[in-house]
This record gives sequence, structure tokens and C-alpha cells, in this order.
Amino acid sequence: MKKILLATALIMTSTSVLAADIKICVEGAYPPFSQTEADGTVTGFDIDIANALCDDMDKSCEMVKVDWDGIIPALLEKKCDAIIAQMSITPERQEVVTFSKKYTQSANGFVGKAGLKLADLGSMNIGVQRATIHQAYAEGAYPDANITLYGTQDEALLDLTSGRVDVVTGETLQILDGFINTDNGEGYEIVENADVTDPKYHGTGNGIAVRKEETELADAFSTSIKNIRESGKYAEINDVYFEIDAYGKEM
Amino acid sequence: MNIVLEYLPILLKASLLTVSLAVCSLFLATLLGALGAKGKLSKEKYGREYANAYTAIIRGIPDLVLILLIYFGFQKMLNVVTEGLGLGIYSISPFWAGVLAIGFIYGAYLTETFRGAYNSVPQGQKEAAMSLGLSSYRRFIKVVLPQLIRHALPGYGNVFQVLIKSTAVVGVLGLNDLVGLAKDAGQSVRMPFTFNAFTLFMYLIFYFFASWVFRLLERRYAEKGHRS
Amino acid sequence: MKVQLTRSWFFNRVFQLVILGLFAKFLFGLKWHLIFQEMPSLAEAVWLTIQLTIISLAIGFIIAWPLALLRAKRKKEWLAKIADAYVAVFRGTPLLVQIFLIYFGLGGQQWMQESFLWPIFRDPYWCVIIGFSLNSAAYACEIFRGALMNGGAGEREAAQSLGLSEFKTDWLVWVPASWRRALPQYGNEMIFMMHSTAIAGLITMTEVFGWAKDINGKFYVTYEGLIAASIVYIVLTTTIIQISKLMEKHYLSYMKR
Repeated sequence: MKKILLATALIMTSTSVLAADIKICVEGAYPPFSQTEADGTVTGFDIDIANALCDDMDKSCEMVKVDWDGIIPALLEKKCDAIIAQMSITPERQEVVTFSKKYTQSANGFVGKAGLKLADLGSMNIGVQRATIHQAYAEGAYPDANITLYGTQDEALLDLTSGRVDVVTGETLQILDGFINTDNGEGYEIVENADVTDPKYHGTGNGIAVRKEETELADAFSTSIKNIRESGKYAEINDVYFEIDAYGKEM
Repeated sequence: MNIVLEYLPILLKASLLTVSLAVCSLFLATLLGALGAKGKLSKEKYGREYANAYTAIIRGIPDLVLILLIYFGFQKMLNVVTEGLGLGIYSISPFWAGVLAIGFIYGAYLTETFRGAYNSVPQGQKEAAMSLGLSSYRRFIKVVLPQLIRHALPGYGNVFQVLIKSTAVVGVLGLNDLVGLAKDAGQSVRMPFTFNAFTLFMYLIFYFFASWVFRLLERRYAEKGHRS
Repeated sequence: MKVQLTRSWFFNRVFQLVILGLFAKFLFGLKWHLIFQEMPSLAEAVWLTIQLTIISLAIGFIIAWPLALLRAKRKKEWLAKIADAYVAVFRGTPLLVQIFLIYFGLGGQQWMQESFLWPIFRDPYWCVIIGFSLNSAAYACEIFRGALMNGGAGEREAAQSLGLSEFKTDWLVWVPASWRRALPQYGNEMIFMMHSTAIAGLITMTEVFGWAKDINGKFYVTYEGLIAASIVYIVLTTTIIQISKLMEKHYLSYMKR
């Protein structure tokens, strides 16, 4: 019996023997930042940035695909060492994790059928991804709306096209390049003037999250972000995906 | 239709992953079920206590909740142990977390199956074997086990059928099994109906195949000259 | 022998204490005030779980009996074959996939979105009610069919010799008698159905599992929501076991001597 248990324990752990220096949790359902290809690999802006940062730090890295719902738990239970998934730096999150300096800055936007007005939003069915700043903002700014929570942004956008929700709120860059500018987003547009940035909800940019006590790793990431900004590597990656600079204002 | 053909190879690979998940889980569940049944049948109070607590807790919680609890909770326990021993972190992959969770859940159901089967082996048989002077190990292997298997097989087959279907929930851990992959791929190419229908069809095949295998096994272990 | 017993007693107690201690340390480290603060929303979630369970079981029960009779009697073979296929498909595939097929699959079809059925399929509530009911009907049908076949001939002959019509024989004698035989297994089906309602949490509904995911997401915690949900599910399971015991007592009281 003991032998069998030992053998199972060995098999179970053998998959992780060849572990990389740093394991990075990514989401894989948030195009173009992070998406799953047909063969199961994860690609996108976040992954390219992660690889560039690892190169700069001279470390080997491995991407671990985790659902957004479980991404902070996965970090805390040490299934990975850092999260690079467009996570906004907010005081609530800072109670459980430590962030590097920002690597992108997101604006908040609403997407719906063309012609939708800001004034209509208050009484609509709003779809939003669970556990995001956008959820907090939608709940705070539109208390009378009917808000539906989704596990992934893809699912929310799918229900937008099927008509189960009237608008979806999220990060403007993601909505633009992951939805409106694709075949699926025909006939949809960003609701004008709805892109409010309220520091109470929207934090101070998106950072790389590490476990609370690992401030050294966070600092190393911050330095590398600065390095790739200066070396032009960041701009190179940025240009593949976006027309504007995802970094936002210089700090 | 072309899109489905393009995805067919990875969908079949994902099906294979689902099948291996089911088989590994069944193996673990059988071990745990045997252990649990031994506990429930043991004369010692503690064996019964542990076994009863195990089955009661597992049977009270839905598999979706248990699988997440085990995925994170077991990792936490493992971290405590490996860090205590100074071994560093061993990360459990979603696949093995799924095997652990499903094996754990269905071990509880098999505990009941095995206990029932053991009890339906006539006491006289065990006593007869004892009077022949066989050791307790040989008594179990030569006399009790073949009959136990016969009595347990129908229930075992049923549990396996339910277990296969349970593998569907492992997708929530982000594993690219049949269900998880079909859902994600179906969403990204906007053909959720076709992809989920394919999944349904594959599970039907598993179901009929497993039924066929267990019917064969039952015939093999049936009592000769009796209708069972 | 005695020494051995006390030694095992000692080791077991120490083992139990260590395990319980570690577990208690873990539990006390969690942020339970979050759960207490969210009690009102938990109550709503529990109510939704109970609703989904009862409605699905009730509809499934109503569909299952005629189907079970059809399959037990096999007078119209082709109808019975259709019923067989229905039961095989719903029992042979995961409920999770059935729900995905209804919610994402049917809901994603253009013709569905333009049809008169859309108000129903638009709403996740009705999607899961339809899926759960059809699924429960298939499982219940199999249980009821077994019970019908087990009683069979004697009961029906007795009723027919009293001059009851076939319809009355079936529904007033055979079915009630079979229902009593089916009770213990149907109790298990009730528990399975209640546990299956967790699937609704995967398609945006806030029943107990969905609530747990919302809480964990809202406060960035791992275990609090899931453990609270587990406790709720254990309580609900125990309640169902008690109910089915009461039902058995009620329906089988005539057998007491």
C-alpha cells in the first residue's frame, strides 16, 4: 500500500520536476491580451510581455493557464509565482497581493449595439466579468441596472451577441481589439461618453501581482518593465496588437 | 463544418485525456473504496469512525464544489508538508487534481459497494476456508475475492458510469479535457452548439462502450450453472 | 492483546488531535466575518437552490411515470424505443454538457434568437429548469421502470380480476404500488438532483455554488465561499435524507405488523 502511495506521489509531482525559475499565471480568455490557440497554447500581449520581462531578468519562465476566477487563489497556493493578466492595482487587492509598478493602463468602456446612449445604461442588463474593477464600477455607478456576472470576458461578449445582455462593460482596449474590430463585433460600438475613469474604482494601472511577502520579485518586475520601456522592446510588442500605447501616461 | 474537421484532431486528443482521467480516477477510487470498506467492516472503532466520516462528507457535497476545494486545499496541505521537509513546491496539475478529486468522491461510493459485496459472501464460505487451515491472506484471495468481485461488479459498473460523466466538471480547473476544450473552442469560433453536441456524442460512445465491457465482465464472473 | 489495543487507542487519539488541530488552525485563519456579512445574499442563494431542486424534481416526476409505463409495457414498440433512446441519451451524458448545449448551444443559434421561444431560452433560469427536468425525468424513469417490472403480473391480474379497466389498473394500482418500491432509490435521485443544481452556477446564476464563486471573487479569498457552500450542501443533503426516511415511513406503514 505504502509503495503504491509513494508511486502515485512520484507520478503526481514528476510533471513539475522540470520547473522553470518563475511560473506565471495567465488567463487565456481575454483576447488580444491573452487567448488560447487551437492547439491549447496561450498567446497574446500579456504572454509576449511576460517573455520579454523574463528575458530581461535572465530567468526561465513558464506560462500557467488559470481561469480568472481562480487566478489569485492559484498565486496564493503557489501554483505560480506571478500574475500577468491585466490586473488593476486596487487597495482591496493590495491587501492580499503585492503589485509591481504598472505595465499597462486600462480605460473603462461599455459596448453595445450601435446607437446606444449613455442615458440608456441605467436600466439595462449589463454583463461584466466577475471579480474585476469593472464589476465594482458597474455595481457602484449603475445601482438600478440588472448586472450579470461572468467567469470570462469571452462569455459575457458571447451573451451580448446572443442578446441575453444589452451592454458589456470592461477594458476599452480589450473590447476594441478583442471584439469590435473582429468579425464577431459587427454592428457593435463603444457607448460614447461612458468611459469614465473614477479613481475610487479604477485603480492606478495594471500591475504584475506576486505573493504579498515577495516584494523583491515585484521590484525586479518593476525594474524590468522600466528596462523594456527604455529599450524599445515594449513598443515593438505594443505595435503588434494596438494602435495606441497600452502603457498610458508615463509615471 | 470545415472548422470542426480542423479541430477534430485536438478534440479527439481531448477525448483521450478525458478517458485517461476516468481510468486513473477509477483506479484511485477502487483503492480508496477497498480501504474504506476495510475500515467500515473493521472491528476497531476508529476504522469505522474514519470511514463513516469520509463517506458522509463526500456524499454531502456536490462534485463541482469538492473539485475546487481539493484543487486548492490539497495543494495547501502538500505545500505545508513539502515546505516542512524543505523540498520546495510541487505543483499539482489540473489533471492530477481532477484524478484526486474524482477518485476521492467515487471512493466513497465504492466503499458502500464493496462493503455490500463483502457482506453478501456467505459466512459459511469463510468458515469453511478457515477450517481448511488456509491463512487469512489466502482465505481472502482464493475464496472471498472471486465471490466478492461477482457481487460487486454490477454496482461497480454503475459507479463507473457515473464517474465517467463526472469527469465533465474537471474543465472548471482550466484543463483542456473534452468538455473544457469544446466549450472554449466553441466559444472562440462561435459554434457552441456543434462543439457541445460533439462532446455529448463522445460521452454517449464512452457510455455504451463501458456498458459493453461491464456486461462482458459480469458474464465472465457469473456463477457457473446459476442464473445471476 | 490489551497492550496493543491501548497503544492503537493512544496513536489514534494523537493522530486525530493533530489533524483536528491543524484543521482548526486553518479554519480560524479564514475571514469568516465576510460570510456573516453576506448572510442575506446567502439566504437568497439557498432559496434559489431549493427552488431549482423542487421544480426540476416535480417536472421530472410527472414526465417520468408515463414514460416508465410505456417502457415497462412495451405495447407500442416504436414509442417505447423512442423513450429508451431518450433515457439513454440523458443518462449516458453529463448533465453539465446538456446544460452547455441548451444555454450556449441553442442560445447561440440565430434561429433560436429570432423564434418565439427566445424569451424562455434567453433566461438562464428556464434553461436550467428545462435541462434539469429532462435529466431528472430520465433517471426517475429508469428507477420507476425497474419498480414497475418488479411488481408486475400479480398486482395487475388482481386488479383486472376486480374488473378495473386497463387505465385504472395501471394508474390506481400498479403505479402507486411501484412508487413504494421505488422510494429508496428515488431518495438518492433527489440528492443527486440537488447536488447537480450547482451546475447553474456555471451559467451566471447565483445559487449556492454561484454565490460561493461571487464571494471568493469579490473578496479575493480561496476557501471561505466554498466551505460555507459545502456546509449548506451538507445540511440540505441531510434534510433530504430525513425527508425520504419520513416518506418511506409514511408510504410503507401498511407493511408494519
